[in-house]
Formats: sequence, structure tokens, C-alpha cells
Amino acid sequence: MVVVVVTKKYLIAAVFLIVWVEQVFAETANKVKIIYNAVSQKGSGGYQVIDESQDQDIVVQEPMLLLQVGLDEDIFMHGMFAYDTWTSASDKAFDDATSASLLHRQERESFNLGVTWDKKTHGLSFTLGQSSEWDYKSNYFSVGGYHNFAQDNFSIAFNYSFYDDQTKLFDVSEDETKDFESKKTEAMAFDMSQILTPTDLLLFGHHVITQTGTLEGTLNTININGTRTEEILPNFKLRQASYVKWIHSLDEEQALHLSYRSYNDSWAINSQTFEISYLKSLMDDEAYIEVFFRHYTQSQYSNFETSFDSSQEFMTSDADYEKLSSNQIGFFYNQEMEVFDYEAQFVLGVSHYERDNNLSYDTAQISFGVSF
Amino acid sequence: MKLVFLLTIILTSCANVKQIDRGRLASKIMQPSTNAEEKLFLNEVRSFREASVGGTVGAVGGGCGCN
Repeated sequence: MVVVVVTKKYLIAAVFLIVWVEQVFAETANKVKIIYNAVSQKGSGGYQVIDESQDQDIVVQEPMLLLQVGLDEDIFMHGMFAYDTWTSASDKAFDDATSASLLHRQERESFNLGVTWDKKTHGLSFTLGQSSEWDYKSNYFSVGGYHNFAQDNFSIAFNYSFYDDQTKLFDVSEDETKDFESKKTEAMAFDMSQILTPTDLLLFGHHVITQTGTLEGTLNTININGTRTEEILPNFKLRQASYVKWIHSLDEEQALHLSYRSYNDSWAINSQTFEISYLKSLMDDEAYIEVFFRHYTQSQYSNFETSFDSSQEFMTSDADYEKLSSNQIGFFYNQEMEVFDYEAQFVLGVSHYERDNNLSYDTAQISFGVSF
Repeated sequence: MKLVFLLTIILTSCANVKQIDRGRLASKIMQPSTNAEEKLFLNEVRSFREASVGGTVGAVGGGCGCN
């Protein structure tokens, strides 16, 4: 079964590459881009970790390949392949305590393939995707479209995504992995943008997400009077986020992006997010730098406890559900250049994230893309 | 938030900037999604460390059992 799935995956990739090669010399928009993402996290407040260490250290590396093939002036195919690998302290603790996987290092493969029809004033897009890892797998599709109005002053976009996921939890008392259980996610996004003045652009939108099925974390545990067992969460969640973003040109070479997001869900968690970015154009707009700061604060999930005295209907000690706030600061350098007469783009990004319940991480990203 | 949306609609309903006046808006630093493909990863990482999703590109709580 695994061989069939892998073969199908590479067959699709091969077809995609053949189409891509055939189109390389056509006067259409072809693009290939490689991104390397990395995260290094330190954390000592993970009450959900099975061995009581609360250790949430993790290192993630993710190389990613993006392809775009123009079929004609308006239609192009696009695809993505990503390979994640990570070593985490909580996985190791879990493996040591239960012999669950004995991996100590896990990996995830994901890919998607889609087609977009873009007439510049309106367009449609369709994407199919899949990802798989040891205790989680997903098949998903998304469809979206947009239309501009009033000589492109106003734009409205809609996107619908459906994730048919399966998650494998661990039975702590039996010391064995359970079978895959279903988790389904539907997401609808309504996004709009409006040009306000020759130097101001406003974006706003509302996203609605519903989740049903097994919503527990794959390795999350709780402590009830000294005994470790799995967390228990409701099997339905309605999540809503509204945002507004203002983009303002300070002068020919400088701009500010300000955004605010309000989030709430049916588990009575709400959050506020503020973000400000300063961008400066360099080398006659051939390059730019972006510096951003993000502040986030959330309320605590009512069924969160660091430990429990007695059993209750829903229980979690996942530190992600604790009342918390976080700050993140980051930097991007983006430059376009010519390489062997082809247009190329280089991006370098770094960031530092600090959460007030003993978790922080650093990210590093580097990418290189060529357009044909 | 509803007030923000209402104000947004009122404020924007009469705005009309001609193509010829959009030189500044065409600059790379004025695009709504700068470094979009790189920020997709940052959004995903955050979405698995915070209880909130949505309101950003990608990351809707599906497709990954990430730690």
C-alpha cells in the first residue's frame, strides 16, 4: 500500500515535470523556487509532556520546492513538495517512556498540485494536496476565486478548503498506538481589499473554520493525581478570525504595514494580534528589507490545568491553551537579480519568538527562485 | 470588530484612485503579501504554538500533526 501511494506520488510529480519541461521555452510564466526553513525551539513549560520534564525543545528543518508552469497567458499549474524532519525532546521522552515509535527523529512529506486561471481582473484556483507523517496524514483540496471591481479599486476573494485528516493517538495505559481516527477541517475565507488613496491600501476579511472528530494532540497527556493519561477534548470546534490591514506609503522608498486580528472560538478562547512592518526599497526597487514586530495575547481555555485532582469531561495540559502572550521580531531581505539572462529572486529571513510561558524559538529561512 | 468593518465600508465606498495615480501602490513594498511563501511557514509554526488560526495566509489547523 505504501509502495502504491509513493509510486502514485512520484508519477504525478513526473507528469508535472514533463509538462514543465515542455513549457520552459514557451513565452509563459514558469518559475522554480527552493526554500529552506529551519526552527530551533527552547521550551520548559510543557505540562503535556509525558515524562514530567516539561521539555519542549525541538529542531525542525524543512526544504521546500515550488514549481509554476504557464500553460498559456492566463492559465498556470503550480505545485509544492516539502520534506520536514524534526527532533523533539517531547517525542524522545514519549518514546523512552512508552516505546511508541523509537524514532527520536520524525519526518513528514507533503505535496500539492493545482491550477490557476488568472485574467488579472478575476480568476479561479484549484489545489489538491497530501501530507503524511508517522502519526498523522492528510488529504485536502481548496478552491478559490477573486474579482476586481471599480477599475480594480476594490477586490473581493473567496476560498474554501477541506482537510480530510487522520490522526493516531497513543493509549498511555495500554502502552500502544491506537488506530487512525478521523479529523475533518473546513475553512472558508472572505477577503477584500480597497485602494483608499494613491498611497494607501486597506485589506480586511473574515475566516471561518470548523473542525470535527479527534482534535486531541497526538502526544499530549495530562496528570490526574500523579497518573498520566491522554488529554480529552471536545470533538467540535468553530473558529472565527477577522482582520484588518492598512498599508501606507511613507514616501517613494518606505512603507508601513499595520494589521490587527481578532479571534474567537466555540471553546471560549479569544485572542488579539497586532503586527507592524516597516519596509524600505533599495537599489531602485530591485531589493527591499522588511522588519516586523508582532504581539499576540490569548485567553486561557477553561479546561486547561497544569494538573488535575479528579477526572472531568474535558481535560488538557497543553501549554498552547494556557493564558499567554507572545512577541516576535523578524527581518527579511528580498532581492531580484539576473542569472544567465533569467530573472532570479533571493530571500533571506530570520526571526525570534518569545512566549511568556517559557517557550521561545528562532527561525531562519533562505530561498532562491528563477523565472523563465 | 464589527464597528471596524462598518467604518471600513463607509470610508472606502467612495474611494476611487485612477490607474495613472497608482505608481506608489505598484511598488514591491506596497504589495499586500510581501515574502508570502516564506511567511506561510512562519504562520504555520505560530499556529501550532498558539490557540488561534485564521486571518492570515494558510495555516487553518488542518493538514499537519505538528508539535
